Amino acid sequence: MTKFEFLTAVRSRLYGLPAEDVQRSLDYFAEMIDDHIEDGMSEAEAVAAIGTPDEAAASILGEVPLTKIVATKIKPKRNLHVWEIVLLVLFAPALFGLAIAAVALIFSAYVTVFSIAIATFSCVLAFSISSVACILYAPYQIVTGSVMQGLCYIGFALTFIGLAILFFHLTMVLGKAASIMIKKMMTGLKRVIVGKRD
Amino acid sequence: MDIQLKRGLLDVCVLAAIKNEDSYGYQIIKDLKPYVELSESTLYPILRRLETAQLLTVWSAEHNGRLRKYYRITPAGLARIEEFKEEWGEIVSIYTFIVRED
Repeated sequence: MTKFEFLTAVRSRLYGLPAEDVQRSLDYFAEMIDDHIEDGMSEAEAVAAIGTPDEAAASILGEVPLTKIVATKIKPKRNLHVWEIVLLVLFAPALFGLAIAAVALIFSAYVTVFSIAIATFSCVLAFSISSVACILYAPYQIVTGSVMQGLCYIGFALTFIGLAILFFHLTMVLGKAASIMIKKMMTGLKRVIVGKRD
Repeated sequence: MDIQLKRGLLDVCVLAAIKNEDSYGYQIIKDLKPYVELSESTLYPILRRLETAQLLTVWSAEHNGRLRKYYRITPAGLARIEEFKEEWGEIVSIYTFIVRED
């Protein structure tokens, strides 16, 4: 692949991104390729050393905030006609509703992903409280004569402690998975908005 | 390694690479190579992030008939390195606790 082909491929994956961001990133990768060549590589080797256009595009997309992408995307490329403005004003309530729906959709995705982690964390809390209650209740039972029941409660307490530890680990794993998933979702969303045009 | 930890570490690595003199992308990757393997695609977002956070500034100079971007560390960037040194002291003390013999 030549330098020109590489840069064109990256550009096509960034269609819809603010022009200034696109140019800046293409300048960066062009400079990198030139520096590799100056260091003794052939053009094809230099391009291969940089990685694939997909990797380059993903690293650029990751740094541009979603709000900026959306703002560029909805900004008209030319001045609007009077009738278009009238239509926009007339349909403003509907458009506003759509915008709210979009935000709500993103928010609900967050909540869904994190709700599992929150649920397991609630289990940790519940088990912890139950174990404390059992530990406090057991001596009372033993002192008042119900030794067997007291021992039972100590057993319950140990079981609850075990469950709490188990669910604590689960919460940690899920929490981590959730944040990775959110990041992937955001990149995916940006990619859908930015789109690809060859 | 933990993603957040690595991310923070790489930021400071890049700042350290331009600590003594201004440098450019390819040179930064070469300077860091013995310590961290950093790809061109990984370096780009780091440089952007550091620039947005005003830990470095960018200036262009002509080189062999083309423009090359140089990165210069700001006082805030130097302060970030100092901050890292302090944090590192804490991390080392935690590490000594973790690996201590009984």
